[in-house]
Amino acid sequence: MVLRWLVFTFIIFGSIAPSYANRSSKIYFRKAQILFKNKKYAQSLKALNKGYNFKKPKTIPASALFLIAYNFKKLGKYRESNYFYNRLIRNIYLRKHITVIKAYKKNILYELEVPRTLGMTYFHLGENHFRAYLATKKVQSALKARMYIKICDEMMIANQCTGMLEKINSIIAEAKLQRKKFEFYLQASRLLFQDRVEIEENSSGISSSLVSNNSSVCYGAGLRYGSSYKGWDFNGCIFSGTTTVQGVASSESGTDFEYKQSGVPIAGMVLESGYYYLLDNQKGRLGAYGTLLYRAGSYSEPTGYVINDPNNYYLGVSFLASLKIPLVELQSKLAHLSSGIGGPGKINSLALNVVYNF
Amino acid sequence: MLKLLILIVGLSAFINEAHAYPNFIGKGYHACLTCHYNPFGNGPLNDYGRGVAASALAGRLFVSDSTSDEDLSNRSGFLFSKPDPKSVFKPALDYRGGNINSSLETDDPQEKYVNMQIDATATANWGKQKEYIATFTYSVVPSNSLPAGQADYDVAAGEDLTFSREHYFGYRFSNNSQGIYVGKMDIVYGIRIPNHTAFSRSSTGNDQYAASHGVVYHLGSEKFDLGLQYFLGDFEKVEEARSSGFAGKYEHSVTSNIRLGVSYLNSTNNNDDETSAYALIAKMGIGKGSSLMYEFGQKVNTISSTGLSTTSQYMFLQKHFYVKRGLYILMTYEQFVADTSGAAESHRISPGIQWFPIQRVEIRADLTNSKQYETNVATNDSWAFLGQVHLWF
Repeated sequence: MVLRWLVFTFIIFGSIAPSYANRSSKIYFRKAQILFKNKKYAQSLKALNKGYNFKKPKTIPASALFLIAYNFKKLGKYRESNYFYNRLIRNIYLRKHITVIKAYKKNILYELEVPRTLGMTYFHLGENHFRAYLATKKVQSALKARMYIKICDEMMIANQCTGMLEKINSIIAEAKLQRKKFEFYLQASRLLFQDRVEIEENSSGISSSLVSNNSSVCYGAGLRYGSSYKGWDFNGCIFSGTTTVQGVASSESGTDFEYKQSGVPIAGMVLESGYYYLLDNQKGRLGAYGTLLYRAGSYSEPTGYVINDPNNYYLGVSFLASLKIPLVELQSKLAHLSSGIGGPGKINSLALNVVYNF
Repeated sequence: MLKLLILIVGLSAFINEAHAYPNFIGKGYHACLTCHYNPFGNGPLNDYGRGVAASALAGRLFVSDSTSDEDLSNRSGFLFSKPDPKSVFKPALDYRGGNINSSLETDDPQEKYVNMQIDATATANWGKQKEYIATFTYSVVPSNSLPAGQADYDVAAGEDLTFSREHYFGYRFSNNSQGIYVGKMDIVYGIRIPNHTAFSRSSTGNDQYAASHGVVYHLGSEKFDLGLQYFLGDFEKVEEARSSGFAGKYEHSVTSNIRLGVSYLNSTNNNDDETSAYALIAKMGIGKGSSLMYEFGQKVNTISSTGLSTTSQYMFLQKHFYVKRGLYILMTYEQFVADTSGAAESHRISPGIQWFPIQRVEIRADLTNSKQYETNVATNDSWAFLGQVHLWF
């Protein structure tokens, strides 16, 4: 008899208890709906929390999950909102969602139809991620926003999606352009520069300046760090070539003579560091650099004379103008350099570079 | 004397004239005929060209936001009038002047203001499809602005040169795809850049006084332009300075922003000296408005009295950077080998700024570094600066 009574009680209360709980949840749900309509989102959430256990979202019905998520969204708590929207998808629309994501990846969303609630869930998820991006500037949020808004747009769920998608696309594109990164490149250039060589009479110490027109080829590499708008550039190259030296070598006795030598082997290097700006869709590059040029030359010394500076270095500034064409970048560099720091012997260099960016 | 020579070279290195801007391939304009009456550019702009210059190429300095680009285009006619497509008569005025500072590398730099271009043009364009064109450009060059070319004209020292820069009658047919032009026109050769003393122009005899009487045939479409010219020399020049011959050019747009071409020129002067030249041309539009122009050419000059030939080569490379509407930065590199059997080379590099602040106004500033490379001489580099203003009405 006791056993019978126990079984009866279990059946009766076991079935009645949930229906009692359901009834009370519905009351809270309706209350939450009214509070939501009156823009009392925090109170609406409290009411829902009384009717449903937020820690067990599996047990919460779709309409309540949607309202919870919507309240969190209105309160600006996008993370929590996303959690409940995702729970809603997982609880009710998991299969359909997988189909949608597959179609999104294949770009065939137009072939699908989704329930209104799922569609609106996508719309809200898109908005949430978009707003999260605006607050945090995390590209990941923008990418997720784009996915949901694109689904919304292509499945014609909400009219706002088209405008939002354009905005998100431009934001993502801009974020990519702003991202700083390293860029390595190789360069080959024709380097022409004019410098001065000093010739000195051994006996008197009288020195004269000779003009030296150097023609060389320079091979090197560089590293850039910057966004798609501006950045830093460090580069260097090693050159070899020949020069023609000419000028009047003075002497104490007054028997000056013209020193002239062609095809003098020269070698050296150029190191540069500077800042550049990219123009016109990142196709043009203008920059200003600090430049160090080191040159060593095998000048022959006439009897009684010595060449004082067969090896010399020059410091100065250079200006870069470069255009990207298919495969390579064509650069022109014009530099004005001095012997040592602020020293005499001003030289001009012209470099025509072909640059290959990795 | 040496200073005078440097000054003359410095001056002549900067004489620009008219508005032929092939750089605007960067804005999608491949064919000259779109904006000019002359199918190979230079000379007066047509109504469309004036409108484009006003509403798309020039900046909007001092122009209020309430003024639309269409409003600007409506003021692009002669003396700010509204271009009237029905009107036959199309007058134009052009002025270009510049302050030239040369020999900047010396302790005694030279400075001079030069009136490069003072032109008045009258053009008539009529017919059902505007197929008839007649144009005449009257030009004055003040005596103090005359470069070495003055010797070709019968002008006494101290006198201003007045001459016709160009005049021709043209007829276009086959739905405007073909045209015949008879009169005095520039030679159809190479890229018609404004800088007439670039090696590509001066070494082939295509400077600012090189227009010649003759006939030009043009065949063109959106994709290509073919020009053939037979010329007899400029009848306004003294007989000894006239050259006759033929020239031609073919340009083909291989993509929406790349145009490649070839050009050929053969001329014989009064002494039967012959010049033949060819050029390979590449123009490329880059980004929203930047461009790259390249011309490589070779010229063979044969002196009839000796039978000796000299072969020379040139290269022209210009980068034109679009900064913002109306504002450009230029970087021009030129190379010239006067005699390919020798080792002498000339190099020029010229960074510059080109600014169209408002319609009808162009301001240019160019710095040029010139280098001479020879095996037996080490010549000092030279520097020059040119600031110029160009106005058209």
